[in-house]
Amino acid sequence: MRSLLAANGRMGLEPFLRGGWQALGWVVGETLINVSTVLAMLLLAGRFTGVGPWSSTELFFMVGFVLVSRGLANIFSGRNVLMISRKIGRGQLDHVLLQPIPLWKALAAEGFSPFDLAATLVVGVGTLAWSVTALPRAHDVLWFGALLLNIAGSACVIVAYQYLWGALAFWSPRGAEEVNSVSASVVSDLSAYPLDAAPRAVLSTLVTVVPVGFIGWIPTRELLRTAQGPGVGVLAGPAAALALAVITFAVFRRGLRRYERYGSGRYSDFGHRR
Amino acid sequence: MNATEADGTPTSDTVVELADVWKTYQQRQRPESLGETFRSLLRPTMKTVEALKGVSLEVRRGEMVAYAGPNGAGKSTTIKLLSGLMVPDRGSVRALGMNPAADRVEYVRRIAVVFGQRTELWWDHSIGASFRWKKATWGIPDDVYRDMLGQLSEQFDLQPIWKTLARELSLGQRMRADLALALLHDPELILLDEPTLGLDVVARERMLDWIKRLNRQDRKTVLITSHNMADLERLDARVVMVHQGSVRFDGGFDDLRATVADRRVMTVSTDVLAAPALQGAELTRSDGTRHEYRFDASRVSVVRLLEELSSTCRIDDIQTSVASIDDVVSEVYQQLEKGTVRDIPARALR
Repeated sequence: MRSLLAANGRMGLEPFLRGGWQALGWVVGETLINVSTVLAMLLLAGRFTGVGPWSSTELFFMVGFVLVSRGLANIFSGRNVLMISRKIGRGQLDHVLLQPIPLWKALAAEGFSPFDLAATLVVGVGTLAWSVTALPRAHDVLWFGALLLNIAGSACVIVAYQYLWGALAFWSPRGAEEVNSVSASVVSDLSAYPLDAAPRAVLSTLVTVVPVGFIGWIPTRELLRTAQGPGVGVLAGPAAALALAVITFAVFRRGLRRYERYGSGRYSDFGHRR
Repeated sequence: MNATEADGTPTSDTVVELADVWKTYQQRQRPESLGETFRSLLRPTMKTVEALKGVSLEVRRGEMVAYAGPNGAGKSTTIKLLSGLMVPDRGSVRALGMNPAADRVEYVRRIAVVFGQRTELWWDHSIGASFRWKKATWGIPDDVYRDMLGQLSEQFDLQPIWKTLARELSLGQRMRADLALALLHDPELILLDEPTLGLDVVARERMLDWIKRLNRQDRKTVLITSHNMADLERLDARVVMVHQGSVRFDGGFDDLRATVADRRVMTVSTDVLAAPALQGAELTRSDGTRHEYRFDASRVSVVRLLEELSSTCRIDDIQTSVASIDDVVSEVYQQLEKGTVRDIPARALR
């Protein structure tokens, strides 16, 4: 797996090495786009002392947490691997299936873009590190372990959620591309908001059908709630990630069987290995 | 006695084996009116397309098979089944002793697939980068990579394009690089789906030469699809013709020509503008005083046609040739469409 990641990482690096100013522009643009999705939250946290039960430092913590999770998901999800509906709906899964490696491995390797998609992660790590030091309580090793587990869980929710909606492309290639774009923007728009004041019906939706609550709000709330160390609540995010991953795996596998039966009659190389 | 001694085929082992393979697709029919649109939400109208109807085929090691047929005949479906990308509805698909879809990971390591309208190259990267990426992805050992790259570079003249981005190549150069990339892991079975599609005459000739060399010199088993019969005839391969999902012919090109009589073309330069009607020959084209006829040489001789023609006009020049393979195949398809297949010898038809 290491050599696969290295090979694909290098494919992401090569355009940068010859890109010069263009490459730098890409990194700056990518950073601005990702930061702008949490800009409203950052401005609120900076301008006011807090939002509802959240202090401004806690809001910065949530923003940093979400950016790190998204950055982590992005690093393994370049080249339309996260927007999987495009690969499926355009018949590009054929290229992946012609590689002599398991599908998950091929997708993870192909999506590995540590150089061109690391901007979010870098900004997130900075914000998270600053907010942790600014939080008015000391944290032990167990808390940091819980933090890492929750970051992994949030990244998993992002990928699983995108794959769940993206898998619709097995049945409806064109429609799923639209749905997948919307599902992606929901993650970037809503994942870094405290949802405490949301009406019950909205809240129910945001932790089930569109589980953005499990990307930022619930994990950070549970991590910040316990002054004496993490409670059982810190497992809520990772548990939701596991449940969503199982559902996504089942749906995706079913879709893959369909792909084997009917193939894709809508081949387009647009976006393929670009 | 092995197959080499028995029937002249290179070795006895069967590389590809399709047995009574059926494949159907469901096509959703799009509504035209608002009422139909609402009805189709609950009960969509589906149309069943039979891509393959009981196809059986065996390919032996070292053989080159030209899998021919018009658009929609089922060629690409067969290639997808043999690539492990799809599974049949009924029947069995086996290649290199494996089930392509079930044993995908192990199987694709031993085959190469080239789709004429798709590329495995990285679009915004140099050709060299794509080769290095494949080395890592296929886990090709350093020494094998060096050997294969040396051979391929010489055979396909890769050096001049090695540092060029894939998107900057001409279609001919891109296909050359794609074919070389497909061969990097030294596959045993090569599946080529319309590899000459869109290529100009020179690029097509070179591509056909490479494919021929792969089979003749490197002893690779090759299955190539095309709707261009002239290309396939140049490969001097065994031809398997599919039509509407069924194999209708399996043999050599000479046998194929024999199925539709001895078709000839006669072009005559005369002193008359109106082409004289000739018994037993069909006028196909007139250009001034130059007229082209087609006829079946097994029924009417050139001499008799010239006698008839010279009685009505002066003959300045004459040229005869065998009908092109495309004309032959076109006639075969017409006969198949009309259901007059009984005219074609039973040994050739399936």
